[in-house]
Amino acid sequence: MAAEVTIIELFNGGRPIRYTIANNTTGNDTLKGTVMQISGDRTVSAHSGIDEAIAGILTSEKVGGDGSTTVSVYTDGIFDMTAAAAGVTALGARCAGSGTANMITVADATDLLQSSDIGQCLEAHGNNEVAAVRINK
Amino acid sequence: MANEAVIIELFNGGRPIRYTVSNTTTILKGTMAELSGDRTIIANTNDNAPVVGITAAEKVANDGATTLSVYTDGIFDMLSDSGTDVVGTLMANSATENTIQTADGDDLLQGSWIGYYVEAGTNAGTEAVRINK
Repeated sequence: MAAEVTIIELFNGGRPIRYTIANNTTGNDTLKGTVMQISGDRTVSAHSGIDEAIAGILTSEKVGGDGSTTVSVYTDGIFDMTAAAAGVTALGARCAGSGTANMITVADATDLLQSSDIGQCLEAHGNNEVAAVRINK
Repeated sequence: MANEAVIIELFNGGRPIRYTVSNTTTILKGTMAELSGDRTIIANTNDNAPVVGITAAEKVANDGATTLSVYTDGIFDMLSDSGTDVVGTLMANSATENTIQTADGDDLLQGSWIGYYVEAGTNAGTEAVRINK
């Protein structure tokens, strides 16, 4: 993975929410700061494409095969996130998961309905640029 | 300015979030704030501008301060425009300072919604709005 999200500020400790995650195989790690999607009943996996329901930002690394089957995601804070190529977002606009892992793009109405929106851009993004996003999932 | 929002309840202390603000401006406590630049706010006077919350303190022009916090979590009394709205209606900013109006789909995408009514909105009335930005 790459382009993991970086914390700028956490509110209420980031309001972490716990989800189930697959134990995964050794070497199949999920890094802290990964954008997580809801992939099953209160279960998350790493974001990998558009139109995935986003749960939040992974609070700690999940090491593949370590036996743990729960992780927490941050749901309340301001984070530095990367806009995908052609993923320019306007100041204040809603952004959503893009087709590239951990990267965001401009949200559309469908993203709002299917919870694939992530937050509000507090800075304007250029292509592949990192800027602050308010997440309150 | 006039018609500033009034706190009814704050949750998590109102979850204040700090933004940059121009030293030369005056912004009263309770003002609906909009983004004007990278993590920078002004008092809302532009319809469809992205809003971020309610100012938590007064900013006096030329007092040297260049940051100001906005409340993002609570229930506030806010003035509506000339429309009426049912309980639960999502509300957005307008071109008139501290005055809200019924939100539409574009408001959701451009971040110009402020919260939803927890009281029925009357014509030019002041009713409670749940803000969770």
